[in-house]
This record gives sequence, C-alpha cells and structure tokens, in this order.
Amino acid sequence: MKGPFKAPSIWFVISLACLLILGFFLLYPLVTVFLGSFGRGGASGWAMVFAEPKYGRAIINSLILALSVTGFASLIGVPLAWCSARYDFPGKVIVSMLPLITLVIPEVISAQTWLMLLGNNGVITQWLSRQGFNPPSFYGWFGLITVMSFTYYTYIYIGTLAAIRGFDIQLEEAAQSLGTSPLLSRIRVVLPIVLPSILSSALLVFTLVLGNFAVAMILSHKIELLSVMTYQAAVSESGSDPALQSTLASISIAIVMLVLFAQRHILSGSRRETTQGRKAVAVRLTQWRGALIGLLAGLVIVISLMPLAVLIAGAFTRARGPVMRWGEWTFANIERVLNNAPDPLINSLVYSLWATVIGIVASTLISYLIVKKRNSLTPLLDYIAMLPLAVSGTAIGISLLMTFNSGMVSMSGTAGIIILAYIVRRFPLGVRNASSTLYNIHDSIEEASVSLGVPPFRSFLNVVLPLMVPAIMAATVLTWTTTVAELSASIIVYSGGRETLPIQIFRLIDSGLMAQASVYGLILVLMIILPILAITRIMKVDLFSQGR
Amino acid sequence: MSIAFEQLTVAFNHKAVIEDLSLVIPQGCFFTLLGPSGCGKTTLLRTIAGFTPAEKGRLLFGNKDVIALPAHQRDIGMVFQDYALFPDRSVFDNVAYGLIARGWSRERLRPAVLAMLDHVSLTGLHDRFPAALSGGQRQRVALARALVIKPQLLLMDEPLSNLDTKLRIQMRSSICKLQKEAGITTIFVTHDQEEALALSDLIGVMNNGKIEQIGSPQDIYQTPRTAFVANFVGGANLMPLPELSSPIGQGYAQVQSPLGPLKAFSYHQLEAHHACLMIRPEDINLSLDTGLQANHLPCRIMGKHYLGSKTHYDIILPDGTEMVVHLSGQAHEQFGIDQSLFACFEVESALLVRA
Repeated sequence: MKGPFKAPSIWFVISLACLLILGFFLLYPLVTVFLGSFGRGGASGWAMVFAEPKYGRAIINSLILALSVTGFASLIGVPLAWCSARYDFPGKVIVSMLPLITLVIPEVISAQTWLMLLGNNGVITQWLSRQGFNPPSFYGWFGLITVMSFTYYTYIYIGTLAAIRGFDIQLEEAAQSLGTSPLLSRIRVVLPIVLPSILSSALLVFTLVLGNFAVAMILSHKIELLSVMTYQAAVSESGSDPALQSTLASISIAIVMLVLFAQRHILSGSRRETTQGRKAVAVRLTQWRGALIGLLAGLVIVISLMPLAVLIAGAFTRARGPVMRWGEWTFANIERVLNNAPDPLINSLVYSLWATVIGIVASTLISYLIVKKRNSLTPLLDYIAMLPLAVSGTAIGISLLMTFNSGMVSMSGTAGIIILAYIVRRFPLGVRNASSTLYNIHDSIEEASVSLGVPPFRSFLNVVLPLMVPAIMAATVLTWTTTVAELSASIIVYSGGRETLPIQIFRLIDSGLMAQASVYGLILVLMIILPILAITRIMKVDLFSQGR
Repeated sequence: MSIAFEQLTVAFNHKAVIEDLSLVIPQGCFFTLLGPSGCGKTTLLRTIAGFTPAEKGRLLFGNKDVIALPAHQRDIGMVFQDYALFPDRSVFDNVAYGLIARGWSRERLRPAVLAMLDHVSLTGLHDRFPAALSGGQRQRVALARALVIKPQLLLMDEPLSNLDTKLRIQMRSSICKLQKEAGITTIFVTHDQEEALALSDLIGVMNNGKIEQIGSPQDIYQTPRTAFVANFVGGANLMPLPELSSPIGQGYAQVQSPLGPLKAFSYHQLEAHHACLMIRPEDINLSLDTGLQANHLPCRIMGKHYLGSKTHYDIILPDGTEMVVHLSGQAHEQFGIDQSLFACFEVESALLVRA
C-alpha cells in the first residue's frame, strides 16, 4: 500500500488460493460437462438430442410442470403469507412454524408418503375402491403437481411474508387518505412493492421444480421429464453415454441460468423498500371470518404435516413385502433395519459431518474475503461460489463424476466424492448466510479494536468471530440438515456399500418396500429435527434470521 | 503531542481525495475538521488513524513519521460515529479492552476502568451491555474506552451526530471538559458548524479535499477568507463583484457593486476578479431612510418569519439579488411584506472574500 512496488498482501494470497481451489472443484467440473457434450471422437450429444423428439418433449414437459407447480404453489403461499402477516386467527402459531416443515421433510419422503396414501397400493386409494370409486392414477401429472406444490409453497410463503412484513403500512394509509379504497390501495400500492419478492421466490420454485429429482423420478411414470432423462442417461445400465448426459445436464443448467438471470433483472429493477416506517398490526379476525381463514390455513397445515404422520404410522405397521397391513402395529421393521442394515445411517452421519465441517469453514473464510477483505479477485470468488445455484443436483453429480473419475484427482468410488457433492451443492447458501452476517457487523467494530492496540488478525478473532458464532451455529445446522437429506447428486456419484439414508429410501420405494423405507425415513427426519430443536430451543438461535 | 502533515496525499478508488495537505496541530489543541459530507474530512481522520493509507507525504506525531506504522501501533484513541461498541461485551469489558491489549492485569485495570466510568458519569453501569444503554450513554462508553488507554491523540468522527439536539449540547460541554482535563491533542470531525465553533481551539474548514482556512472559531466566523467558509460557517449574504479589476490589499476599500459604489473592508490579500462581498444577516439593519451607516441599498421585503428572539426577513435588491436579514428587538415590528426600505450596513460588516 506504500510506494508503487508493494508485495501482495496476505489476504490477496489467500484469495488467490481460494480462487484456485473453488475454480478446480466448482468451475472446472462444469466446464468439463459442457465440453463433454460435444463428444470425444463419437457423436455430439447435441446432435443426438436434436435428432430424438423425446428430448424435446421432455424439455417442454419439464417447463409445463415447473410453470404449473409455481402457479399452484403461489396460490397457496401468497394468500397464506398475507393472512399470517395481517390477521390474527385461530391456529396462527402453527402457520408461523411452516418454514420448518420444508427443512424437516426431505422431498423423497414427501413423495413416498403421498404414494402411501394415494398410490396404487395407497390407503386412500384402496378405501375408495372398496367404496366402489375408481380414483385416477396418482402417477403422472396429477401426482407430480400435487406433491411438488405442497413441497414448494413454503418458499413462496417465506419470501412473500418477509416482503409483506417489511412493508411500510404508512404507504397504504397514504393511498387511502388520497381517496383509494382499502382493496384498491392494496392492489395499486402494496402489490407493486411486494411483487418482486413474490416473483423472485416463484422463480426459485421454478428452478427447484426443473431440477427436482426425487419426486419426478418416483411419480413421473410415463411422462418424459428432463431431470429424469438426465439421470437415466447417467446411470443407464446399457452403459452411460457421456456426451448425451452432459448435453442434457448443459441444457438444464442453461435453462436455470436463464431464469436466475431474469430473477436478478427483476430484483435490480425494483427499488426495494427498506424496513423504515411503521409495521402493520395484525387484525384479530373473529367469528365466521376467523373460522374460515383458520380452517383453510389449517387444511394447508394438515396436508403439509401429513407426510410426518404417515411416516410414523408406516414405520410401525406390519408389512409383508410391499403389502402394508394397516392397523397391525409392530416394532419388527425398526428392529430389522437397526440390526441388519444400519450402514446407510452410519454413512449419512459420517459424510454429512465431514461436509458440514469443511463446508462451514470454507464458506466462512470465503465470505470474510468477499465482504471484509475486498480486492480485485474477490468479485470473481463471489461469482464462482454462487455458480452451483444454477446447477441441479443431478448435473452437479454428473459433472463431479466426469471430472474426478480419473486423471489428476481420482475420487470415483470413494466417500470423498459424495462429501464433495454435498459441499458443492450447499456452498452458495453457506456463503450467502455467512456474508449476510458479516455485512451486519460494521467494519468500525474491528477498527475500534485495532485502534485500541490489538493487531488486525487478533482483532478479528477477538471481536468479529464471537459475533458470528450464533450465525455459524445456525449455518451449521442448516448445512447438516440439507446435506443429510441430499439425494440427487449423491445418487449419481455413490458406489455400492456407500448408500446414504436418502439413497436407501429411494431404492426401497423403487422396490415398493414402504415399511422399511418409512423406518429409514423416520431416522432421517429425526436426524434433521433433533439438531434443529437443540439449536432453537436450548441455544436460542434464530435459524431464519440470516436468510436461507 | 503535536501533529503535522507534510504534503500529504490520500487517494480513494484511484482518485485523490486529499492533495498536498500541509498542516500543524499544536500539543493539547482541540482541532476540528469542519466541512460538508464528502469533503474528505473523514478520509483524513482515517489516514491519521492508520485505516486509510496515504499515497505520499509525511504524517508526524511529535517528531516521528508514523506513515508506515500500522494502526494498532499508533497509540490513538478513536471515537467512531456509530460508537462501534462491542455488542457482546459489558460496559466494563468494552472500556477494559484496550488495557487488556496493553497487558494490564485484571486487578490493575479494574480501578482504572471504574474511575474512567465515574469520570464520564457512568457510575454503576459497568455491568450493562451496549444494547441496554441510551444513545448518550453509549457515546460516553465509547469516549471512556478511547480515553482510558491515555492515548497521545484522540480522534472523533462525528461522535455527536447520532444524538438528539438536547443531548448533543450536553455531550458537547462534557467532551470539552474531559479533553481540557486530559490535555490530549484532539482531532474532531463534524459537519455541524455550531459544534465546531463551540468546541474548538482551532478549526480547519475543508472543501473538496482542501483546507480552505484554519483559524480560531472567532477568526473563522469574523474574518472568513473565502465565500465557501463564510457561507458554511454561520450563513452569509454574498454579492459577486464583477467589475473588480485590481488586486485588493488588507484594509478599507471602495468597491464597485452592480448597485453602485460600496465601502468595504478586507482582512486578506485578494486577487482581482476573484472577490465577492459578504455581509452577515445579523449585520444588516432595515430602515425607512438611508440612516447613518456607511452603506445603504434600496430593497423590498419578500418574506417575514417571526422566531421569538429574532425575526428573519427575506429581502430583494433592485438587481434581483436576494438577501436574508436577522433583526432582534421590536423597532421593526411594523415592517410588512412588499414594503420598500433601505438595507444599511457598516464598512466593517461588508467584508471582501475570495469567491
């Protein structure tokens, strides 16, 4: 910093090292996938995709599915958010706990439990057919849209709720004092300000549906979907085709990138209201209006919580092969799983633990560089760290498998590649979490410590790190819960004997063994729910204070 | 300890914010950097503290050039605009932080910290956390934390701007008292001219990375060197003098204004074409006749604002120049809007300053 010839600062060197590591593990695999799509000597994957009409159909089906699910999820999430922000009604406490549900119930389990109710052997299906009704098959569009809408509406609920809560009620009052009716002022004043948040969470849901593996795989049946075809191209028993799978992965990455680009455009175009002004006070709804809204909200909650109830029931229900003997309770399933096949449980524990520790340390360091030690490299670092957001789990799995199968770093068949897949998938959210905490810690606190005579690095350890501890604990739990539930990337990179809980559950569902799947599911949910309870109830950390 | 800058240049984002600044601040002086936001005063303060590197030049603490010394070795007490209290530490631990960094034992620092808290009137609050304190109390913790290490130099970055008016005036006098008792050379940054006038031994008025004038509060207010200083400190009526063609020396001068000849006074040497006339609002009298004062200009009242102890008048001169006049007493109560009068002022009130 003094004179024209300065040695690069220590932070610049660290940034460079991080950039090389992130580049190797995050960027390089994606480049490999894209280059792989042009084929090596053989036919280009793009030629294959354009030649076969089924791939075009799959893309269109995937887009239709994503649009419909986004629409239905908004129809549930937005009104629910409005009611819970503006009104007080019976049962509101439970509604405010909804965000937890998305965390606690992995997608593979919600698909499984819906099947246990409405699938061909489902409880409700069988009851209906005994009554003489012949319900439509749950496989296909009906099942896909229902399950995904009830899986993803919470994202829209959370995004909308934050926007409505942050809205300055004085704007609405100003509109009314200028002569617009309450309803009209909501449409003209509130909606435009809240809309970007709704749209942005809707686009998130859109990308999640496009990349969804578990539900699509289990319920799509004969409907061709991009994510399913990508997976099948990767694990096809007749020998996987590297060019084809990388082309399909590239297509899904391209679509998601396009959507994220649109999202960024929407967000930058809107001047987001800061949390100034006065907040709306929730109006107590009584009599029939309160009862009606309470009832509708209750319905949403019951449907959202249904998977948990079914899971518990399924785990303790006697089963013979795929046939569930509902009403006959037993501990046999649990005994069998714990005695004969506890490996998935141990694998999940070990892999997620490693991924959490490495992921948290790395994302905290990188966030510190991005927020507090800005230099010419850090914007690039930020950009690369966010890249996996645009890539579905399946595509991440394919890219890691293609890149680290052989060559410089050969990890195929090891636990390392599963852990790497976990870290990569969670990385953008980890960095986002840590950055938003760091942005809230003023530079002046660190400078105050320095001015009192403590060297910069010691100052960071003394005053900044302690302030980050609650956020780091929250991020640790969030990372743990998402990695434990991870399926779509790990199912591509895992090898025999390294099954994790979600992989095992998925395989059991595939074989129709719902009782065993329920036991593993219950264990998985407990592995997610116990740390959350510990951190929120005992350590009093707010999981959602730092964004997700 | 005295502080000196020698040809100091500081750049921010490759743009020079402060250029070739030279200045000496004597030992024990309360020095205020006064200027509008973005004038470079905070950058200068952060350069002194060691947080913003200087491009070139020297920064002397006493006889020692500290430009290469890292911030934590400069032995400076700093009070930040947002106080920067450590939110997870009690008042006691906040104040003790600097002493612990200097290797003081718990037994030794305890009486020192408690005495300092007494000194800033925070007796009994040492167990509280910053979140449980009022704005004024936080401010005093920040001050105590900076003073307890007995620094050679105290830096304050707009420390009063987050307080309400009443508290600000209260804190003003306690800061003044504490600084005089400790005898620490102090550099204070503010954009509030009243604060600067009330607190300082010396004021440096900054504009666009340059110090326009350095002087005692009386010098700055009574004998401003430039139109910017006159306008920023205290408010001023400015009248450009286009027809001035020769340099002006110190003393009385007859100048040609658009409204005829005026008798003026200059405290500083001025170059031709670069002067304008400055009259303080309270130095103008309104009267029905030309009166006894040296200068009188015909004018018309455009607005009248009664403020209790005084009344503000907006007046307009025949050439369209608008001026503000502050009158106290009751003699002028019958003046009303649209009334034509004379604006009268003495030679010594009509100051020539650099435009």
